[in-house]
Amino acid sequence: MDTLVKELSKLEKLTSSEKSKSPPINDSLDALIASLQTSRAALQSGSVPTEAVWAQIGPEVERRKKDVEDRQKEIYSCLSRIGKGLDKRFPTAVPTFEPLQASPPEFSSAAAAAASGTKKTEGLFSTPSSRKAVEQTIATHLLRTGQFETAEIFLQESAAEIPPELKASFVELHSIMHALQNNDVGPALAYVLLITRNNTMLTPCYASWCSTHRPFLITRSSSIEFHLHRFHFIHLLTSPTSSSSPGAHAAAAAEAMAYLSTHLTPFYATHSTAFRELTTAPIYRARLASSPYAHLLAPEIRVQLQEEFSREYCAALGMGRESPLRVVADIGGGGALNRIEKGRKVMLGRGWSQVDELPIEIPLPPQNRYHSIFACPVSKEQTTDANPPMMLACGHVVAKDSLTKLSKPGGRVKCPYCPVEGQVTSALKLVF
Amino acid sequence: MSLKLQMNIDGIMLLEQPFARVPCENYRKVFRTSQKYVEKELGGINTTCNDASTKSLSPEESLKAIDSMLSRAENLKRKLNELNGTAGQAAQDTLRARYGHLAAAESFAQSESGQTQFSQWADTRSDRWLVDWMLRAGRETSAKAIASQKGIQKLVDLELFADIRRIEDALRGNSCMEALAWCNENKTQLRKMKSTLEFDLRLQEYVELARARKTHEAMAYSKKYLASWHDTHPQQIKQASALLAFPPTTACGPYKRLYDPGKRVALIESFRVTAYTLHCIPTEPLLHLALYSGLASLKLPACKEHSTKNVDCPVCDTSGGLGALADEVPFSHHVNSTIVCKISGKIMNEDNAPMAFPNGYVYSRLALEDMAMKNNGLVTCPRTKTTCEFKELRKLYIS
Repeated sequence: MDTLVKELSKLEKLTSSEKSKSPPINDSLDALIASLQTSRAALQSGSVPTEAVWAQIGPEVERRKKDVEDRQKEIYSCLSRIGKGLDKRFPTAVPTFEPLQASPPEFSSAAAAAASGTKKTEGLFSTPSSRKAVEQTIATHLLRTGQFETAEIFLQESAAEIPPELKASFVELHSIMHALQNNDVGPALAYVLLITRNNTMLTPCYASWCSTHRPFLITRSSSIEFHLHRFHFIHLLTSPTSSSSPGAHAAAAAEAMAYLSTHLTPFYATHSTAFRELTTAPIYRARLASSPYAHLLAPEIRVQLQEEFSREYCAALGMGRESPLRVVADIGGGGALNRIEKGRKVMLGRGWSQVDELPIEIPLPPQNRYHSIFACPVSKEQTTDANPPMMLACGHVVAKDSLTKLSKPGGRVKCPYCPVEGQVTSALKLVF
Repeated sequence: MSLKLQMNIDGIMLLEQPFARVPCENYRKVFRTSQKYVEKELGGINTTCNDASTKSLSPEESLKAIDSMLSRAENLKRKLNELNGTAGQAAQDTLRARYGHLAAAESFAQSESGQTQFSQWADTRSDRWLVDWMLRAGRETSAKAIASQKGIQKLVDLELFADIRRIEDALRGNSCMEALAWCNENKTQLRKMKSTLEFDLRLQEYVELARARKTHEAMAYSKKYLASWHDTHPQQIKQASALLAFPPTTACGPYKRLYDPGKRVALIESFRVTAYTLHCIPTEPLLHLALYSGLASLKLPACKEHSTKNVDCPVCDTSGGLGALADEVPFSHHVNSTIVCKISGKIMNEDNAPMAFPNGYVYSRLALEDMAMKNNGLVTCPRTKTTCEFKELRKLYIS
């Protein structure tokens, strides 16, 4: 890209009034006009014979014309260098749908064909139902990222339908986030209390969801409540500026300590280390930033808190921690398409038959691994309900089919990875 | 590591080709126009000058010739300045903004600390893709709203798509004029592409005349516009001539097809594809390509099973959004095991080994240790509620 940027700067120079090998076009034209005017004046005054005037104009026109043309040529060659740079930087064209689809046309996914009913899938996601799904995804993404005005416009322009409760939830999430930005934990805490202590939810639509998912929320073993209280405590502790009166300092310290004892003590059982830290931090109140507790003041704490809150909030609504559109688009735009393209080219040559599965593995970052995958080390097959992973006595795991194949008469089986021998029946079926 | 990142940036760039090429083509167009002006005016001046020097003009004639040269030169100067000041400047600004944007991605992806910056860059990228999708789908107001809210007008092709849409709308309203004007504007490139769009448009206009039973006009039209295509489309021209003998209500196969109003829809489609190809923009929205490959990378049989769903997984969605789209893409392919802890969401490995409850449910050691610490050494399986002591858990080995 750097070479392209460089060429672009050259282009900008060439079209401006800066000098290069040839003079700027404007200068050449100005010079031409000026000399024509001089000749005209000379002719008018009659002091110079006509032939002499023309003898002067001829070479002048030639010269200026050549200058202009040279400059144009320079611009042209600069443009073609940019063109070549683009060819080099972007050697492959953007793939179209057909090559992405495996060679046998059966793949035009049964679901898609059924949805359109009449004709085969013409383009990617072009059936009315998938088009609606895209619009739905976009509308949710806009709301999720807090672009409420744009979302309103989009909802009017498209067929997407978002339940008003969901919309209200996103508005609420963003107002809470805004409050956190201003060091106000009030709305966030109110929400957390509501969701963990009460049976009523903020929006009736999700009340039932929450009551059924309460165990899930508890098993998340979320520390959000503790973190919110801690954030507020630190805020109280450090709020008076150095210019405030000593009285204000003492009052703030007292308030912070009162807050600590009422709101943070209940967390002693679960967050003992962090709690102890908070109880000793006030000693350094005046110079917390240079104390062993400086990390409590780190600006990342707020960002982390916001992220944590939005994660919990969305989980309570049954949604992922990030906008799914972003997640998928980032994976797709971050190299997956490239790999699929390459893999397809290789596999087509070898007669790739499995059309409902990608030909190659797309490496995913750890945060995008959402499900456990167990590929049997013996058969290399992914395990299924019918062929579950089985743990041998030694702790090694193979698929059930492989286990059956490995078993010897008498139901004994030797682990393929270590010398331990055990009974087939004693192998434990695993659930990941 | 560096190799992997290098691969990555190539993958990112694969989808950015149109983004980089569109403004470059725009600028080329500006340059071609300027070249045309230069050739015309300077050529004119040169001819006048040559004529004058050879013909030994009278002083009055000379004065006139110089005046015409002067006005030509001034005209050229004005035209070039106008062109560079408006279209040229705009195209250059767009080029600068876009190449800067892409160069930024390269530097973020290659530096160790660029993660946050890259994520912000990807934010802008998804906004761009949304605008691209909306413009293609005719959601222009939304597209403009995003572009102005995010200040990315230079990074999206609002005008280009608006222009294409304007011509499409005209076609829909039975007017081929705009599309024909467009063909004329891009004549050379269309010829290079071997596009027959212009013929199709002409034929359509002719059919409209025939439909209105304006036989004379139709014949005149055919002579004027269709005849020149005789070398490449003899069959169609013959058929078109015979069309006049059939009324629009005809049941005769080939002529009925020519009168078919559905042809107009096909014509709009064909115009759209031609225009997209000419402007180097892909016929598929980039968002679709990204979603397709992203969903395919993630999709697993586990996404469809209720017990193994994960709220964070986009494919598991049941709200009729991405989950519905995922039905159209193939499954991902895996040869290696990855075991994700259902409690912590972390991937298990040697440092965080998988541990099995006596009933076979597996979680990561760190999550279970944490649980045991808070519960006096007792651990509870969150899915089956089985409780046991931490030491009863069995470590397993995934190879």
